[in-house]
This record gives sequence, structure tokens and C-alpha cells, in this order.
Amino acid sequence: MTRRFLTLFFHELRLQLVSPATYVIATIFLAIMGSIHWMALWGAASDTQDWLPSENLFRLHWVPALFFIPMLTMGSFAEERRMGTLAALLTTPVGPHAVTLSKFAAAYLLYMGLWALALVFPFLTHFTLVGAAADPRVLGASSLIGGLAFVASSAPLYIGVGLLCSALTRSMLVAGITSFVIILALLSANKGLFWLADTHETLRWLYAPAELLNVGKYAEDFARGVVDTRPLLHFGSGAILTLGVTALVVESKA
Amino acid sequence: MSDNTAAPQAAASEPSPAIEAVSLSKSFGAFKAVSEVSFSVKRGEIVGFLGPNGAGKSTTMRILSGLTPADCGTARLCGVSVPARPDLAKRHLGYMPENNPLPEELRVIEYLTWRARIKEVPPARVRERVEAVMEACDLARTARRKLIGTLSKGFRQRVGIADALLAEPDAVILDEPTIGLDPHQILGIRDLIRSLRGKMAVLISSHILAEIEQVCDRVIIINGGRIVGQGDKESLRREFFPGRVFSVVCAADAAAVARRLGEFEIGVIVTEVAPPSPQGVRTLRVQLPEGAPLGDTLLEKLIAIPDARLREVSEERASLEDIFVAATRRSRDIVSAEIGV
Repeated sequence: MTRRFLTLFFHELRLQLVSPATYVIATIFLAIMGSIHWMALWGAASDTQDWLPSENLFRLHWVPALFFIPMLTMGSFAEERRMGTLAALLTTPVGPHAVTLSKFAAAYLLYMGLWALALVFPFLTHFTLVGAAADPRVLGASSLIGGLAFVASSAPLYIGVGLLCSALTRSMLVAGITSFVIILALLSANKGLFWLADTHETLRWLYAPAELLNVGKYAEDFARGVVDTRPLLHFGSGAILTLGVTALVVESKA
Repeated sequence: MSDNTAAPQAAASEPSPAIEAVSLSKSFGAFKAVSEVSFSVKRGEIVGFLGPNGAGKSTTMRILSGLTPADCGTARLCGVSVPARPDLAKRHLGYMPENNPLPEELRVIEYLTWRARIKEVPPARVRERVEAVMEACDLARTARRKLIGTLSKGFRQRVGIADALLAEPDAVILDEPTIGLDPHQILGIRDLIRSLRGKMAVLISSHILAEIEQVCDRVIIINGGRIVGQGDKESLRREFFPGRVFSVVCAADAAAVARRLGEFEIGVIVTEVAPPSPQGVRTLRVQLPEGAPLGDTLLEKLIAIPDARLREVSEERASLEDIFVAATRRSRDIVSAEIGV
């Protein structure tokens, strides 16, 4: 099982790395993250800020989650189903769970690799700007580690959603748009629930689930070094659910 | 007593068929794609799977390869149930799907090496097996390092077949392996498939009847989701074209020949195929009933007809195409009768 998974995983990773689309996505990702960091630095230099520039990078985690995860995952199953290579793969002793897990692991590693590359910006700032090296706020190690831990724990859910959407269709475009919409709903669900609870007396009970779905709050907590089990449960259970359903869809629609 | 015990012992020692379909049925909504399909393919046997478009060939093959679950019935590979133990059953299978999908961005050797690994070829044998199938499929010298996306249709088909043979499976299923190939490429693939005889069970679907006729030991004909005929060519010929048919070129007319042959056999039908030539020579078709001994002495009887001036007597044997047409037409007639059309 492990050998089969590793063979599939390295194959997936290789396919991602030989695809020109991956480099286009990486370039846009780094351009956007670089811009976010530059704007945070600009803001910090001109005014007093509540956030460290490095924390700001992770506060806007929703930007890559919303745009880049659909881009990275939309072709995973949709393109293979369109080409017929998924069916050919499933005639070998490889099961749908191994295929799903290998695609998930490859997309996760790539996404985390992009984030690791984005961390170059705070380091560059720290070591190249005159006087910045002395200012610990530019390179807040604890906020960087906390932020990266948040991205690492939240990404499985969004990647799971992307893979599920990709497994449901043969069109990459449809998969991309669907996963964008679902991730947007997951990221903003708490706002909708808060609004409902605020506006309807009978729906006050929605505050509790809204708090549980408050992804922004989790990101802030992680960046400040506060980690509890709620976000881990939220993202972990969501990821397991979406990946499990994806494997079932792959098996039934090959 | 000894006879009674010998049969079960022989059955127990006989290996299970490499490919076995038992009462497979599959519907897509109201459309019944496959209905009560049963057949088996022994190890070392090459069997052709024939049928018109939409007959249920690909659906049956997909059920056998574990891609599509059957509504009822059982598919087995080397005695292992495909739906119950898919991982184990697929270890016995080499499958080339219709249209032969391949990843365009990989090189031939990279693709085959990867496929060998996921098919659990022992790591020490991966290189040896990849070289062996590339050699067998004539890929080693010409296409080894080419990107699959740049290969011609013929070479892509070869890559698909090489992939199916990679893990030396007991059962190989090839769905339209020669579709879109030129005659030279078809000859190459045909020789390759022939070379598998005695080594593995091969089930091939094809529309090219001549190809099936030349390559396969046995034929299964499916139409409207049902098996309408199966067996070797001789048994199918006996089933769909009972009796014997001769072409006779002579000066005697059909009535004279029928009269003469009627003295020896009841039920002989003689028809004139072509009008007489200026020299008065006619081409006649003589149909003898099944099991008629007259066939062996026909020449002798015809020579005895006065002024027959016999030129030629040859037996007409139904081709696979004739058998295929007869089998599919008969099944269509049965279905029409059932639904009262």
C-alpha cells in the first residue's frame, strides 16, 4: 500500500512540476504575496499598525486559498477523467483511496512549497533593508511559525474541496469555479451566520456555530501563538470528509 | 464407481478460467446495456469479442476490468471475484481501454516504468520487463524516449498494448486494439497478439472481422446486450449455416441438376446464380441439407448428368462476416418478435 502510494505520489508531483501551468500559478502567487507584504511594510512605515507585517501575510491567507487552491486542484481528476487516463489507472491494483491521497499529498506539498517561497519576502526585508535587521517586528519568527502552522492545518480542507469538485466533473473550468464558490462559502460562512443571528431574535443560537466557523479568528490566534483543538477539528474533519467523498466519487464515476 | 469420482477430481485439478463472466447484467437507466452475459476464456486462449456498435462489448469489458459494477452476475479473473476482491483480481489483468488514453506529457519509457511500478512488478524486474515489452511492441529503437503526445496513432496503440502486457498478466483485455491503424501496423499488432497464444488469455474486441478470424481461436458474438453466438468458426458455421453449399459451373440447367440430385437426397435446393453465358455455361448454387452424405459424392453425381459439361465444383464456406451478420440478424428478429414489432 505504502509503495503504491509513494509511486503515485511521486508521479503526481512530477506531473505538477513538468506542467507549465504550475510555474504560471507560482509566479502569480509570489507576485501577489510580494505585493501584500510590500503594502504591509508601506502601511507600517507610514502609520501605526495593529499587525506586524509578517502577520499581515497570513491574515490574508484567504486570497491564495480562494484563488490558488482551485487552480492547483481543478485539473487533478477532471482532466484525467476527460482524457480517460483515470479509468486506465483504476484497472491496475491501485484503489481510488490511494489515487485520491496521492493527488491530495502532491497538491498539499506544492501549496505549502509556494507558501514557503512567500516567506522569502519577510526574510529579504529583514536582511536587506538598512536598519530593518535591528527591528524584530519585521521578521516576527513566532508570527511566521504560527501563521505557517495555520496555513498547514487549514489547507487540507480547501484542497479536499478542490479535489472533490474536480472529481465531480470532466471540465477543469467547472471544477475551478465550483471549488472557488465552495471555498468562498466556507471562508465567509461565519459572517452570514453572524448577520442572521444579529438580525433575527429567534436565531441568536447561531452565534455559537458562527464562532466555530470563524476562520479569520483562527488565523489571528495561530499568528499570535494561540492554538486550540477547535480549528484542528474543524479543518481536519472537513478534510477527511471531503477526501473520503472524493474517493467514493472517483470509484463510482471512473 | 471410479468414473463417478474421476470427474470431480478432474474438475478440482482444472484451473479456473482466466476470464469468466457469469450472468452479467447492467442497465443505464431504462437502457439494458448487458443482459445475462456468460462466457469464459481459458488460459492461453485468444478469443474475439464481436458485436455492432452499442452491442455491449465495452460495457462487458469494463465490468470485467472492475471499472463498472454489474447490476447482477459475477465477473472473475483467474477465479478471483472482481467486485469482491478488486485489488487481487486486477493483479491478473492487463487492460487496454477503447481509445487507449495515455498521458501526453510523459516519455514512453517513463510511462511504462511508472506503470510497471504501480502494477507491482518487483523493483528488480521493472527495467527488464519494460525493455521486454518495448522490444515485443517494436518501441525500443524508434519511440523509447519520445513524448507520448508526439507519437503517431500506431505507436500509441503499441504503447497501450505494451502497458497491458507489462506485468505478464494471466488475462489480457484489448478493446479495439487496431482501430485507426494502417494495414502495415495492423499486421504488426496481429503478429504480436498471435505471439501471446498459449501464454495468456486474451479477449479482443474489434470491428475488423478478418482480423478476428485470423487471430482468434474462438469468437463470442454479442448483440443488444446478449450473447447471440459463441464457439470456434466451424461450430458457429454449423449453427448459423447448417448444411453445405456448393457453387457449380456447368451447361445443365438448375431443374436438370435438381432432378438428378433429388434422386439421392431429399431437400436439395438448386438455384441459378448467373444467367447462361453465350456458350451456355451456367453458375448454379446447390444447397444440401445438414448431414447429407451427398456432399462427398456430389462431383461423381454431377458428372453423370448427360450434356452437363461440368467445368467447376467448389464448396462455399460462410465467412466470419456471414456468420456475424446471420447471428446479429437472428437476435434482432428474436427481439422484434418478443416485443411484437
